[in-house]
Amino acid sequence: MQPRIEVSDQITKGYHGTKLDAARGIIANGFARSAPDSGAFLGEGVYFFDGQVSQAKRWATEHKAKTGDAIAVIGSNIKFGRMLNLADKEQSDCLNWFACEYRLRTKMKVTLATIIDIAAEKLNAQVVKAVRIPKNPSQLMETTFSADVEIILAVRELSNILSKEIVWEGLAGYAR
Amino acid sequence: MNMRQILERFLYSSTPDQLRAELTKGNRPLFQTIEDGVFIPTSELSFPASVTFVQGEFADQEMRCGDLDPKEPSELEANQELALAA
Repeated sequence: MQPRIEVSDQITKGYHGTKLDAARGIIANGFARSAPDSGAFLGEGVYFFDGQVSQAKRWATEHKAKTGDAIAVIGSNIKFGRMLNLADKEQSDCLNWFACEYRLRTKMKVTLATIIDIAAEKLNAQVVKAVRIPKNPSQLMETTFSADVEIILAVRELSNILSKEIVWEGLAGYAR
Repeated sequence: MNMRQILERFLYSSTPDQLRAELTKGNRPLFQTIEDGVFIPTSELSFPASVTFVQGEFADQEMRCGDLDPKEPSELEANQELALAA
C-alpha cells in the first residue's frame, strides 16, 4: 500500500524565531518564502516549529543573533492542508526511493533539500513536515521521552499561514 | 494517484537532462548542506525511536532503490540492536 498525500483542515500552532526587528517587519508586511541560501533543508517555505515555542527561541538565539541582540518568536495558526509528512514512515520511505532514483537517473549528487523541494512541488504540497534530532541520537535512545526532537513545518503556500503575532521577545543568550 | 505514482510519473516521463534541469529551477536549495543531519523516525514517535540517518548528500551507492522492506532493519538499526544487546 503506497502512501497518499492527505488534505487536512487541521490547524496547528507554529512558532518562528527571528530577530525582533525582522519579526516586526513580518507582522507589518507578511512572511516571505526562504531564499535558496537560508538553511532551507526542507526546500522552499516559511519555517516553523510545530507547537515548540522553546525550539523557536533557541533557534533564533543560535542562528539569528549575537548575544544581547533582541530576538522574538512569532506564533501563527497554520493549516496543514495538502501536506508532505516526512514524519510518516511510508512517506519518508517513498521520498528515499525518489532520491535514490533521481540520483541514478541524473548521475549527480543531489542534496536532500533539493529532493524534498522537487518532490513537494510535484506533489503540490502546501506544507512539508519533518522531525529532526539535532544532537547526539544516542541520548534519545537512552531516555523514554525527549524534548530534543524538532518538529518542523516548511509552509510553501503562504495562505496556509492564517495568523501571525509576536508571542515572545527577549535577548539572545538570555532566551529562557 | 498515490505519492509513489505521482513521483514515478514525473521521474519516468522525464529525460535525464530534464531531471538535471529541474535541479536549478526556481529557488531550489541546490547547494544546501545540513549541519546536523536529518533524522526521520522509521517508527511512530515512540521512544526509544529507531531512526534512519540521511546525509545532506545521499551516499546512495549503498542504498537500494526498490521497495524498502520495513521488516528488514537498516544497517544503523542493526548496529543499534547489537549495541543494545551487548
